[in-house]
Amino acid sequence: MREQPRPAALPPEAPPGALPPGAIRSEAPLPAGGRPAADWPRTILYALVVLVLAAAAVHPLRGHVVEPRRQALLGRREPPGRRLALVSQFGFDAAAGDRSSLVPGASRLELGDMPAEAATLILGGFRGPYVVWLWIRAEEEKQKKVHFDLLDRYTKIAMLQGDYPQVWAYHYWNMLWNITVQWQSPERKYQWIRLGIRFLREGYRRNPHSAEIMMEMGRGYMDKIGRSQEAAYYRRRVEEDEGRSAFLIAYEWFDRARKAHDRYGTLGGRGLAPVVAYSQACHALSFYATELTQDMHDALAASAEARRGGREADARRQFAEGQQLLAQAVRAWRWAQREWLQHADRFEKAGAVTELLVNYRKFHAEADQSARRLEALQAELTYENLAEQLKDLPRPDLK
Amino acid sequence: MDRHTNNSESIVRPRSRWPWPRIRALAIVTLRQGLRMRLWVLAAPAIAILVAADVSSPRFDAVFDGIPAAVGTSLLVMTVMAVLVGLFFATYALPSEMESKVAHTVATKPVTAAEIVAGKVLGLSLLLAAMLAAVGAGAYAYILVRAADIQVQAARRLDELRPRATHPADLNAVEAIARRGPLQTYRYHAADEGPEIGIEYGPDWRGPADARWVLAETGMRLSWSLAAAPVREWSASGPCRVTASLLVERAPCAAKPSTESPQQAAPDEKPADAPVQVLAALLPAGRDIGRIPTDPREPVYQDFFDLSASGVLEVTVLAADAPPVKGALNVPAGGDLVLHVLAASSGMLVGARGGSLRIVGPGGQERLVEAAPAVNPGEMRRRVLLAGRSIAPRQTALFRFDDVRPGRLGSADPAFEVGFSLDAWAPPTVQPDARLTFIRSDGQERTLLFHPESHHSTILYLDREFWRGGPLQVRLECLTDEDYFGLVPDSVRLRLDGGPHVLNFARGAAMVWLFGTVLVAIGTVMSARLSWFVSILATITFFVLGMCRGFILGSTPLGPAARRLAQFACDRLAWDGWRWVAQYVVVPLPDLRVLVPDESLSMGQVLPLADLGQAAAWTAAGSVVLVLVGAWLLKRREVAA
Repeated sequence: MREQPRPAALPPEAPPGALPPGAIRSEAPLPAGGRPAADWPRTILYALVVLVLAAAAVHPLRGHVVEPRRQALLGRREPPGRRLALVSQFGFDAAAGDRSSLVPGASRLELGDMPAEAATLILGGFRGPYVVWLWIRAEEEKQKKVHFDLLDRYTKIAMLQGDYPQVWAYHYWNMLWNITVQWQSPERKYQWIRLGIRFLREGYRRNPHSAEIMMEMGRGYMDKIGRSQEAAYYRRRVEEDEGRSAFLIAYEWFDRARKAHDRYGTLGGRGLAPVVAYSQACHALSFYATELTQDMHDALAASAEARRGGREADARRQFAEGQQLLAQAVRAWRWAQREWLQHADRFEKAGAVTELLVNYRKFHAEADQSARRLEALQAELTYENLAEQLKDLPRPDLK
Repeated sequence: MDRHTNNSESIVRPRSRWPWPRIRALAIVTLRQGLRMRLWVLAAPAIAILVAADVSSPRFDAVFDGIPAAVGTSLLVMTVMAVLVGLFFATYALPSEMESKVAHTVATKPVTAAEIVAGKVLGLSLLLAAMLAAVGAGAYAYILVRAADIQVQAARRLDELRPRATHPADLNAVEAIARRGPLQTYRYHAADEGPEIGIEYGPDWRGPADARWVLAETGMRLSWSLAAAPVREWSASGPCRVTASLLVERAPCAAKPSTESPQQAAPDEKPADAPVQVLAALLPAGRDIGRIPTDPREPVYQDFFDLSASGVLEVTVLAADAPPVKGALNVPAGGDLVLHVLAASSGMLVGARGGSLRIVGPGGQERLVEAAPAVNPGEMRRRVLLAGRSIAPRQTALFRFDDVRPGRLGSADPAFEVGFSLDAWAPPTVQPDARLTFIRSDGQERTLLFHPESHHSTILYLDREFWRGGPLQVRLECLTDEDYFGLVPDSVRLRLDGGPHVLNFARGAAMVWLFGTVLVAIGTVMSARLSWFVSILATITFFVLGMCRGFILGSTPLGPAARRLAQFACDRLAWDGWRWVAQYVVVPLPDLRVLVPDESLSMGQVLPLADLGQAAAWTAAGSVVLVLVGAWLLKRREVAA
């Protein structure tokens, strides 16, 4: 029979309970009497350590618990527990003191959302940490200008937190404003804008009553596409892709947002106040009318130039186009004027700030004035007197 | 009898002094346990998840983003697998043996606690290696399939773009993928010198060659060090005069498109006979030109001055505490003085020779500054501004690569990489033109015109027929009028072939394995004292804290505390390592994130063997420490319950 190696023998003078070197203690040896001897220095040391740790734990409580609690009692902030809960649900605005709520009603889900919903369910308790990791990575990669996974990260975050309009709006904003500027060619920038729009449309599908998403979409069309430094290129591309002016599309989104907020009250958070938010639709119309006036001016100027150059056919064609645009511009200015008037009247009744109302009346008057001027031009303009009329016709700016 | 004795001696081998055979035996047992548990089955779903995740993920540009994303996803899946093994299986091995009493059998053998823990860690690490190898092989097979598809897409895109491309060099990157596939790796070779900001004068230049020149609207300045000149002493007793004899040349301007009406002409255009203006600044060394004060009581250190018809700049210098006077500069209170002169009039070249600066004291005493002025570039936030002009003279940035050994070039074409930050400077509607000139040591040049892209580095491939290693100079110019490149100096480098892509991927996988080994060690140590569930929670906590170590130091009061501690130690004994020590004293946690491969590896940058070796050394050292801690805990554990 094969003999097994034995453990090292104990020295003869070893006390009972001693183990060979390297062996694992199987039970604690007890001194005579059966009770462990008191180890006072060690007890005092442990007590001191516990005291220090307790002090270290309690000291920050004043700043992080007591003071916030006081603020909460004064009605200035949410209590800490509530804040923590809100932050964990991505309620940053609410955690900072504003009341915000989820969009009322269930989000609209389709069969195509099943993988996303399944992934959310499968992740279970890991969903939170995974989303936090995705947020951190997405922000880091944006800062480092590493883009190969960025879109995927945004999509995954939105997939896991799809019921929060702020999530959609935040990443849409990133794509439109922060990532586009990391590229040089307008074509690449526009590709990111289109991706952003597609992204937010998905957010709109998931949250069909969110006025916040609609507002953001409108702002993208009006401010980024319509009035940024590269706007001329973007507006042309949007006309090609969507067949309408970017300002008109912006108006449609702002109008939807107004209606959604009127019905569901979903314009919460720290965004614009309703009086200002609603005025964005009127601004979009003013810009639309200005854009048409610019186009009309360009067409008429081109006609005059062609006539000076002896290209009669070209000149007549441009003139006819200019006349058409003139008629459209008049209609657009009248539309803007009506919108401004309705907006000012509505919020005057609602008791809005006087300075804002003064501004709205001023915009209304400007729209009216522009409409009258163009109507006068429409009445007097002929192919023959075009050059003279153009002298008194400044090209408006999209400010 | 003798025979019997001999037999028993040959069977009962003496206990080895070295622990390695016992650790190895325990490791093999652990590995077999893992295999019996069929953990390798996880490899198949991991590959399936990887493929599904990559295929379903949207990408901005499939040609350029496809492979980095696939590699990144593969490494992520492998990392998750390492985490799962570290969190769940490593914490399970010891507690399960305790429960099934196997631990009693092992504990009664002549093995030490350290050998038991080390054997567990090693066995689990080997198991993880086997699993990662399986997943890595599957992932790379998928990457190869993706690469083939991407190469076809790149070829298609190249065909579409070629007729529209203004500059052939703009298609370099697509061309490289279409020709060689996207599985390319690279390593960087930094410039040995540069950027040396200069001026390309063009063939028609007739100015004196011995003078130093700066061009208006480029931020370039002529700088004289006045450290040895007694400006501060003289100005204390009365106003001094600094007189510089400057050379002035008008640079030819590009023809601008004619404006339609006189109202549209630039209102600030000055007549040709207007005096040439310069900006002069008297500043302490190391300080850059700032704003001109608007408060009349503030001392003036910089101002605009008109040159005389003969090009003489005359600046009155007052004491630091003297009330400011129009047309005079105050001496700054401390530091060595430097006089900077910038050409302020549009389209002007201003130059100076050595010995052109003279300082005249209040008593008529004179001092001539013999040295020629230095020409310094304008800098803003770590960026060198490179001003554009469509015709010479034009600002240039020159980079030198002293000697690149031909053996380092590899099989692929070397490329030159430049990181621009155009977003803040170029007008958004303008797609600027740029020119890059490679200059060999024999003076031969190869020029490429291109449109830089600000997001990712612009990559320009260099023909192997033109350059096969050795010294190389690269000159960069912006050819667009009224435009600027923000040039990030560190981003200008040569991109050399990094070898087979699969090897780089394997290095990434090895990093993941090291990361997993540390986690396995942590999990095993925790389970040496705690039950399985508690060990999982403890390991998760340790893992999360280890991953967030950078955040803890960067965004909590512990970071400033570590800095203060380091400063305290540094005040007593100057040593650069105090900061590192203080950070580990304040946050005694390993920084696990350094073991996770970053995105540069996914993008094809070679992970240096030195980095891998360093990571391996850290992992080994950390594992030994953890094993010793685990052994200490295990010795105190009640196993005979």
